[in-house]
Amino acid sequence: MDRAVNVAAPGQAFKVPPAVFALLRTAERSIPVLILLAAWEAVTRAGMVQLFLLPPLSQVLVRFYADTIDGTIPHHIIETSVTALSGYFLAAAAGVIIGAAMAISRPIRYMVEPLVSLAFPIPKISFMPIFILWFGLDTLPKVLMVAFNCVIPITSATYLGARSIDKYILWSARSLGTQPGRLFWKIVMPAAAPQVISGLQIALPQALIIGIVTEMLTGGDGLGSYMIRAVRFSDSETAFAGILAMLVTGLVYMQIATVIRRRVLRWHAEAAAG
Amino acid sequence: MSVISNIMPAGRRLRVEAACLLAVGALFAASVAPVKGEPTKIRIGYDTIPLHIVPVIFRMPELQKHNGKEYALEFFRFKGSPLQVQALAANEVDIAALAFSTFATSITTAKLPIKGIADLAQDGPWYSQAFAVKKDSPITKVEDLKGKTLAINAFGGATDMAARVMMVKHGLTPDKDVRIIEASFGAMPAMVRSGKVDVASFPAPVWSVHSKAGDLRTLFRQSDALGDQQFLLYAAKDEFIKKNRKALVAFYEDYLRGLKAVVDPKNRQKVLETISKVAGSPVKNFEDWALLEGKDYYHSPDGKINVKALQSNIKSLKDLGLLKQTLEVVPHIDHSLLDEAAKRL
Repeated sequence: MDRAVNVAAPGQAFKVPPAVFALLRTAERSIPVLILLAAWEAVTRAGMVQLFLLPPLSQVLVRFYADTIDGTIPHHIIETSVTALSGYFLAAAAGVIIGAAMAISRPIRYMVEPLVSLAFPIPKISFMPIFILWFGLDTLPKVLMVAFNCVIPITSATYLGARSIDKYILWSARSLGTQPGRLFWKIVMPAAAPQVISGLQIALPQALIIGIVTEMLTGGDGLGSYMIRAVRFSDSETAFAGILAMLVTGLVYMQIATVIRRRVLRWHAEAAAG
Repeated sequence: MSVISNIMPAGRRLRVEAACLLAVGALFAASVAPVKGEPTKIRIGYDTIPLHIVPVIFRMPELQKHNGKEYALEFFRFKGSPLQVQALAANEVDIAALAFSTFATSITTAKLPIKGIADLAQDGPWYSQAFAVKKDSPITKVEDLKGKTLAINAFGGATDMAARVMMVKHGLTPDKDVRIIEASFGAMPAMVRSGKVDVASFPAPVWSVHSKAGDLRTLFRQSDALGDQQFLLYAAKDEFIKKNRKALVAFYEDYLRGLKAVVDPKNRQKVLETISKVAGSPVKNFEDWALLEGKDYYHSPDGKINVKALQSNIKSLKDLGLLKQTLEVVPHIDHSLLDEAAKRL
């Protein structure tokens, strides 16, 4: 859509191209972050904190750049992404199926709902030692731990989405002779899609966080391992470069999720609302 | 309008308010300032007992003259020495138990203004940490570790470094050829026996108990990698040493007296009972090895760091590319506390 934006006072109207407006808006929203980063650099340069506890931002950026150019950070990002996304997609498949099954089947709801309620508040990462015991120290326990963490929010979102459909739509479809299977795929799932996708979006950063934490606990490669080793070798700059890499990865994940949401729900009222 | 302003003239009210503020300030200052004559608090990091013998010595009040008078101790347990570097930097401990490797990185990488002030334990002269596999494991030499998993207690610590040195010496690249993971020493026997890891490191307390079953086999020792090592040493910030010299000398006077007493055979039963209490493990787990020559780690009787071994250990790590920078250790060692303490005995 090619919409120009009027940003001037009445009587002095001029049009700003949308791209420029978006750039200005991003710049405006970045001001608090830039102030924080400037304060970080100033505080460390002034010697107000020990450099081991908080190295200057400029040095962290230099390390981040060097480790990115030599392929270290990209390698660890790929390792973490493989772990996090494998677990995430496993959880997405299981969570959507279980949530939908709970919505349409009373016996399944009876069996699964208490388990989901019980599992929701538990800090699931505390199961990691058990997962190591059962599945060893390779990639499998990490992937399963990510899946275990992500499946609950996805299941809940799918269940709530599928249950909250306007009953008049269902009645109308049934009265027109729609079969149960078709009803589920053509009515229930599309109507529940915004909530299902919300659940998937909530679970995505969790997948990244849990993936990194499991790497910190079990070794191997990945951002978690990259950071924990740096900390153990008193190398704060590398540890902070790892945080930066995590931040960049998380932002990319969230941006991709937002784009997918827009595309999948382009038919939905929320897309029309902008 | 408040009640006070109604009943008191403005000038007098200001004086009363100022007096109240001063009183509150004085109370606050009194609450945070150390009381005159109060012993200096010394916070010490430790890990496996009785490798870290200091918490044992200071659980035996009859061995101490100055504890509770000139200084008061507080012990904090850590898993491995690398975490103690962070605690030292954040002023969460005053004396940290550092490995030769973390001592080097805390000065060269973390730029901490610290000094090594005393020996804690040496690996090699008596016991040397074992890296063991299952007895029936196909791993018979270091080269066989390619593609296998090895467990250490903390990345960057002495045990990790010894394992890495051994790998490099045998043509393996740590982390690429061999997966290295962190685990607690207590969990390692079970991890090896269940096949979760192929090889693990066993400090004396764990090895003495678990080697008896006969199902574990030593692949190599830490001393095979690095010779005699200044395995662990005590380090403190320069500023802390300067400010609390008197208390530290008193502490080391008690330490040297205690160290002599705990290795004295006539105190053995009492010492074993104390070790058992501090470690939370039965006496039988310690009686045939703890503090015995050749079976436990060596503790220097004069409390001094083996500077030659320490320098050699750090040089080996640098030569093999496991440390970015080397360190000339002599300027970073301060034995003056021990010298003064020894004179007072």
